[in-house]
Amino acid sequence: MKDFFYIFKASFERDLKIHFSYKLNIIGELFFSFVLVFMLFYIASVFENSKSDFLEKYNHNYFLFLLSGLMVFLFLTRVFSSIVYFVSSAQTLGYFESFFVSKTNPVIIILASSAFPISQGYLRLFFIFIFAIIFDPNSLSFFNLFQIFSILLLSIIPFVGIGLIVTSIVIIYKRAAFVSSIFLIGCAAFSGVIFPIDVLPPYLQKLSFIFPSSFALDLVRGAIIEEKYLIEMLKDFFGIIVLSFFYLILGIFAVQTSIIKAKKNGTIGHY
Amino acid sequence: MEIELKNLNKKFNEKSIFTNFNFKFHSSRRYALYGPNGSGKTTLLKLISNLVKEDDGEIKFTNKSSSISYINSDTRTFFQRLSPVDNLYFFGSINGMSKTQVRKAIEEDFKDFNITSFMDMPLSNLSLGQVQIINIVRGFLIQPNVLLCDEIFANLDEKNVKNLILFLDNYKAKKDLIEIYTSHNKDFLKNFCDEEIFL
Repeated sequence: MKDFFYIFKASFERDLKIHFSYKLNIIGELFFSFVLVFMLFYIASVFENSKSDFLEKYNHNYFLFLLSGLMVFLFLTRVFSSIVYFVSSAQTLGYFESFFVSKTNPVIIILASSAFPISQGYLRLFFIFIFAIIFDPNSLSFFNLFQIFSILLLSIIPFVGIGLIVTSIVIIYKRAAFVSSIFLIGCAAFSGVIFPIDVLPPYLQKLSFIFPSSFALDLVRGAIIEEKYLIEMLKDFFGIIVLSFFYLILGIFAVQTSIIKAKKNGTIGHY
Repeated sequence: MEIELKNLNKKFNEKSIFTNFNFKFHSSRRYALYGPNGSGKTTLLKLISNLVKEDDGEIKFTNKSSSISYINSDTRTFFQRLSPVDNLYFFGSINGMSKTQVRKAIEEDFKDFNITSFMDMPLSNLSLGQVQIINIVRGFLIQPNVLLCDEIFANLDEKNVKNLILFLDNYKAKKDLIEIYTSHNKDFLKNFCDEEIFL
């Protein structure tokens, strides 16, 4: 376990240095966060007087609905993409093979690559939240930020697992953009990111159960919009925990299987 | 220590590279691998280092705790936005080494290569020869007792080739070591190694 954290720390330091070697990154993050909140605020204002039944449980606050949806989506998909991108870059740039002649299990090196993107995702959430408070000071408090951060911490694991599953495709087939896109579109469409899933026909609503972002979004909205107590949201917590085990175990198994196959084909370092 | 290759078979896309290949490598010996392009020199080194899996047969290490280093001449195998020292810190960490241990190895074991003069420069600003030195340093961080060298003298100038030979001789004197080299410079390897293998 000590070694595990040591490699996480080393990966974090590595990516932090790479990040700061690009001078305009922080300004880009701030600008992106501002433009996002600005757009959401005015998009939501179009529906300000809407009395749609679907938004009733969210107090008809479509701005908070959209904001929470995109915050969760952007954060969790960053965690997912970072793992896929790390392996894809390692193959393209040529250092992937060197992980396999080290003393550390390559799965741990791949997992550790998410350390910096997670903190980067949190920083972006912080910026978005600050701008959101400026635009709508009456609906949000800093306690909400704490609630969102805590819920997302719990939601990272299934996305890491899904990242590993897609990574296993990258290891063998070298490209998985198609699979990533399907997953991201699925998340956006069936998790309730920009519209409540109740809008969908009942048979399509069932699809939301395979996307961990659905549970994460219900938890975040339950906490910051509906002001539910923890006990009222146990079903969603349970959903996240079940999907965490399922996707993480499946992800580790998929990566290990793909490594064996790539070694057999002699294509570990190919891209 | 020994490495025994028993009835090794390997095919890529139906092309057979090794068919019932047998060989035994012994410690304290330097082996030179020869063969035309595509004969399987790199594949053999990758099979021993477990970067490629055999289709059939067995690779047996008599010393179960062998630490294997596979060093090639691919200078792309680093994080280009990082300096050599930051790259070595990271690759040291995945081999269980602290920054202090890595720094000590650079300053003491490799002082003849004058690495400290370019240690903090971005890797993308270094010459191919300088990156190759970093590649070699990385391979030796784990103090290997199986050394698999695929064209490691490539990109090095005359002075650094001499330094490297001296370093390898000193390392061999201190360690129970199996060394396997490939190079297109056959005359050079003939003088440098104890035994030749033709594939």
